Amino acid sequence: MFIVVIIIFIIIALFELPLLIKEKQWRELIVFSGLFVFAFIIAILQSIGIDIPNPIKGIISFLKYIHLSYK
Amino acid sequence: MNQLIEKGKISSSQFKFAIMCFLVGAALITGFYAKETKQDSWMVILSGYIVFLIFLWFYLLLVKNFPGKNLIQIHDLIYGPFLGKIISALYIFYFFTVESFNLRDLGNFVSGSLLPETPIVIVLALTTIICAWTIHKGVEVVVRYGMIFFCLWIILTFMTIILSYDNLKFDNLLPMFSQPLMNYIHGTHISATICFGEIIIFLMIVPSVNDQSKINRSFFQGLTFGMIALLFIVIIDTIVLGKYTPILTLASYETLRMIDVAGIFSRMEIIFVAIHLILQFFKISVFYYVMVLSIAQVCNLRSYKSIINISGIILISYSIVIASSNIESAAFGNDAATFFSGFFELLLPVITFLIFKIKKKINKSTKDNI
Repeated sequence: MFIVVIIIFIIIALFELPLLIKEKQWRELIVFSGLFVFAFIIAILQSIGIDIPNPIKGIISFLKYIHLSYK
Repeated sequence: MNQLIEKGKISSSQFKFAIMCFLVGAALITGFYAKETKQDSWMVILSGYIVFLIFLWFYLLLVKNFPGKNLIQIHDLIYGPFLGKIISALYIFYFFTVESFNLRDLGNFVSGSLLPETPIVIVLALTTIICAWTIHKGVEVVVRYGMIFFCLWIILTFMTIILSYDNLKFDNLLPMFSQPLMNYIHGTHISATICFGEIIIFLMIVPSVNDQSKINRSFFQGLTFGMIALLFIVIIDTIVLGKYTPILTLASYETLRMIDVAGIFSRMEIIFVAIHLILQFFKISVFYYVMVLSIAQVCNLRSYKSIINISGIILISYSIVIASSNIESAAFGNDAATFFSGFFELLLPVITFLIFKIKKKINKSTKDNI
């Protein structure tokens, strides 16, 4: 699983980066790299079996805290 | 100011059918409010529609006052560049969350009905790859097939009505108005936010429509026909399944399973699965497109094509994290999601419009004084 994730990320990087560098789209390159690093960290953590905190749980407890709930 | 990124154009009738198709995709989640209102679920759809019409009026006012601008640009113009970016970022988070839930629903649906032994990540990844492929081709391709998909769905519905003739028990609709009042309010809230409210994402596609004068009519007709379609589904399910509707997660699927005409026409549910996969695919691609477009718009990019694949990966990861089971996602959809989505779909557009009005008034009065 770990290796599959790394291979997928290498394929995506090889697919997108040459085009962005060739057309000199630096802003796009920055946004792409930011998203890439974020996605890479999360996917690697998931593939080695570490639980990622669920933002939905945070939203639910926040809504409960301000008493917006039907139950 | 930010330039429009999307160069493709769609016609107003394509836009209308896209809205209809998008709404019918919500047929997978009728279980959310069937739990609350049982045999009266059809009333909840009607009342949710009426409530949502008020908010649709605000959407249309925003569109009218900012012709040719999408939601992110409207935020930039009303709140200023800094606060506008923060609100747009919140909207991107909302698009991400709702889309992940839709993707997760599709995954649960497929692994519950077709592929029980396959890991869910395979289903999610395959769907995301197809959606990403569609979005690479631009907005025209994303919405072009709405009409065909909607027609397919109409054929399916009429087939259901005709073939389940033996199972129709109209007594199942009775007794009416027997639930506590709070359940109706809750159900209306669910149907207004989770079924109808999601068409706020079409505010991002509005600038791509080539005939801007017909926008109001497209929105209204799309919403109305989509509502009628949902109403049909819920009424048929209630008539066929009766008191079992609230406990089933996929009521329409079970309705088709009940069909057995002389032992020849049976096991029809596979057709339902195919058509609903198509509808859900349509819904996810529209969401995916809008999400990628909004990221590109907020970051002021020249094209959204480069970030499609990488946001797809985040999407798959997020929809695995978001709920550990089918029940958990249904519990979120039943309770907390109504407030979470309601904030973005109902409250924020109204606040945005009111701030716009106040600003306009202040500007006018200062001009008069000078």
